Amino acid sequence: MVRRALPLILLTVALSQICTADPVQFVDAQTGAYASYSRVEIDDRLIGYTDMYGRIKISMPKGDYPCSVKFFGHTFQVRLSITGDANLKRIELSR
Amino acid sequence: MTETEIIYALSGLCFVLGFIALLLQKTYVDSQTNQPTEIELPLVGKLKSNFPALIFVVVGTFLAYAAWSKPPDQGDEEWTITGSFLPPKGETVNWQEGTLAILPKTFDSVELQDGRFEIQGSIPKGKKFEDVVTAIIYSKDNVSAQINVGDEYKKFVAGEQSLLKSCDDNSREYSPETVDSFQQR
Repeated sequence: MVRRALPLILLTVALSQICTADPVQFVDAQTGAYASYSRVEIDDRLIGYTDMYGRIKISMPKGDYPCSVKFFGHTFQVRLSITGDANLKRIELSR
Repeated sequence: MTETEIIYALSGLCFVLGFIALLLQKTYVDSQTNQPTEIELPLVGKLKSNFPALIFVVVGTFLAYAAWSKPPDQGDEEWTITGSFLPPKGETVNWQEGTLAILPKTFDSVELQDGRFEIQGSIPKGKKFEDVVTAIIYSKDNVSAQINVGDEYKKFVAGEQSLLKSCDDNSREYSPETVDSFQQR
C-alpha cells in the first residue's frame, strides 16, 4: 500500500515545488498610490521591479515569503503568499 | 581651459604670492609680550609667524592636492540600446498606449514602434550601461514587461541563457521578450 502511494506522494511534493507566477500589485496604504518602479526582493534576492502600476509577476514555489519593497526611499516589509492564483493580488504597504 | 587647469593655475599663483610674501616678510610682534609670535605646526615644529606667506603656501598646497587627486573628467559616450517586446499569445497590444521607463531615469523614455524600442543616451566614459541603468520596464493597463539589465548582463558574460543578444563597447541588443498579461480580479 505504502509502495503504491509513494510515487503519488513524491509527485505531489514535486508539483508543489514548481514555480508559479503570481501577479501582485503593491499600493501605498496611506495614499492608495501605486508603488511604481519599486525594487522587490525576497530573502534579499532581487525579484524585479514593479511597473508603472505597481505590478510584478513573482515566480516562486508555492508558500509564504518575507518580501521587501523599496518605494520612495522607504523599505516596506510584507508577507507574501504565493498560491498559484492568476488573479492580481493587491498588497498594501503600511508604514 | 579645464576646471583642473584653473585649479592648478590658482595653486601656482598662491605659491608665487607666498614666495613674494616671504621676501617681504615682517615679523609680527605680540602686543602683550613684545615678542615675535610663534605658531606650532605638526611635523614642522615652532615657527616665527608669518601668516600671509603661510596661508598662501597652505592654500596653494591644498589646491594642488585637490586638483591632483580629482579623477580626470573623460567626458561622455553615446550609447544605443535596442530590443523589442512581443504580445502574449493570441493577443494584440497597442504599444504606443504604454510607457517605457528606463530606471533610474538616466535616459529619456521613448515610444515603442511595433513593440520595438531604441534608446539613445550618453554615459560617462569608463562606465557601462549596466552601471547606470538597472531595468527597462514597459507598462500598459493590462500588460507589462521588464528587462533586469544587470542580471541579463551577468548571465550573458557567464555564457548562460540571457535576454541580452549582443554586447558591444557602447551598445546593447536584447532579444524579444513576451510581455506578461494581468487579469483584474
